[in-house]
Amino acid sequence: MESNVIAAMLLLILGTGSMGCAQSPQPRILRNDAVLEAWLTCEECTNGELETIVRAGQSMVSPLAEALRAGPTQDTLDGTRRRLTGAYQSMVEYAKTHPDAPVPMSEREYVDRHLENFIVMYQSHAATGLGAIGGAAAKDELTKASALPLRQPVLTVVRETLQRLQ
Amino acid sequence: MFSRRQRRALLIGLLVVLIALIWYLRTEDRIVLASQTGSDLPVILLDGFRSACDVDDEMHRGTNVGVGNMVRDDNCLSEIAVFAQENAMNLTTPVVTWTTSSTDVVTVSEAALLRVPVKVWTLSGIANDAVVHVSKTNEIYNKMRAGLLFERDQTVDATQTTITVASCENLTPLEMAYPPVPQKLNVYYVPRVTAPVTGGTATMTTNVNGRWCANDPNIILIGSFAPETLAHELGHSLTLDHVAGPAFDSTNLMWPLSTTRTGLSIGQALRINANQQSAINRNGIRAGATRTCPDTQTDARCPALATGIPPL
Repeated sequence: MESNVIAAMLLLILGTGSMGCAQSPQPRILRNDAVLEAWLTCEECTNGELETIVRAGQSMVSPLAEALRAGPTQDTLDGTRRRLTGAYQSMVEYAKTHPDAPVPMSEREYVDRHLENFIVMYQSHAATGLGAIGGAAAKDELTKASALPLRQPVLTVVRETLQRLQ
Repeated sequence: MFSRRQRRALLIGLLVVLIALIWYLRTEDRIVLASQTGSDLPVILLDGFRSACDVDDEMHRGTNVGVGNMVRDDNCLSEIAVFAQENAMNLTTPVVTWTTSSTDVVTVSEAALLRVPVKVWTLSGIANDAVVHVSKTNEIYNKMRAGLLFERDQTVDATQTTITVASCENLTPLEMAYPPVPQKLNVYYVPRVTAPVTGGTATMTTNVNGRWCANDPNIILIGSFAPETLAHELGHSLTLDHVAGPAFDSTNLMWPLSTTRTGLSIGQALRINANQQSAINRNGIRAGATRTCPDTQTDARCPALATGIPPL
């Protein structure tokens, strides 16, 4: 009887422990995602976004390299496109009653111009982030990226970052 | 003792007195808005003395609102701030016309949106970028009852420039080539805007969407813009800082990430207009009472930054 109780308590303790182990990586991943997104999409980047990336260290090299190579995920692009379309349509609606707020641009042009900027900023920040973390792995990723057919403003940042790391 | 006719007259008399008494007890001081443009339901923030000096940013909605029995007390901050779409923000301070009577009427005259001139220099992109960004800015500021209408001067086409990068830390090349207009907000669209960032032990530069230059507060740089970047940077020039949760979410214009940002709180709208260092006061565009309300300060003169509009 006594041994059963002890076994049950041990199971409970181990179970709790393993639950803790199983749960701990998830918040960490979520936190890293949020940190990454904050850096890749910051407007002025004055809120310590890069500092947080650097503090996360080498674990950020792989996701930053992926962001540099591939840009935003398709989901992110779709969401951004939807938001841009909504912003455009809202402006057009507003212009109907406010002639002092003209919209001399087609929806397609508006969405494309802003989406392009979003991608460039996203990838440029990824390159800068890799440079800030530094180390062999980050440098290797930047070197590989410099040979990719990336957009010109992104390649400029990649090459400047590599020069700084030399 | 009384004839039937006398009893009836007495009864009617008593009824009249009773109705008058009820009416008297129901009366209250009123704020009446005059000359309003449009049909928006305005937001009124009221400060002052009722039974104590504790009427602090009491919110009302409407163009003719009852406010109880407000009383003049010169030791107590007494003011009325009115926010309405299509109208400038009106800050009446101090209000000295309240009396002990409960039938006071304070009339606040509204005025058209305050026009804020903006000089735009296009060193990159196309002129219509600035046109749509100013339009988006006006949509946000007007819908949120901030009371401003930004007016773009003739955009200067400077796309033949050799300047490819700009930062607030080194404005000289830009200002030498394209001298900013004094007492006016000057917005430069440039191919690339950089900002210093700290990463670990090193300080480096990074590309950013845009910047308001605190060291030269009539200068705004726009680089790889999002739709609301200009509106956001103008917010900085009007003294607003970045916001964060939980009081705010990513829909607020001053959220620091590139998301769809369309909101401004009433606390922000007041600061935009009343803060002494706001571009509209610094540049003499607005005439009216000013104060200094940092985002973090909340007191009688400075409503909480997150003060918003409750659902009707």
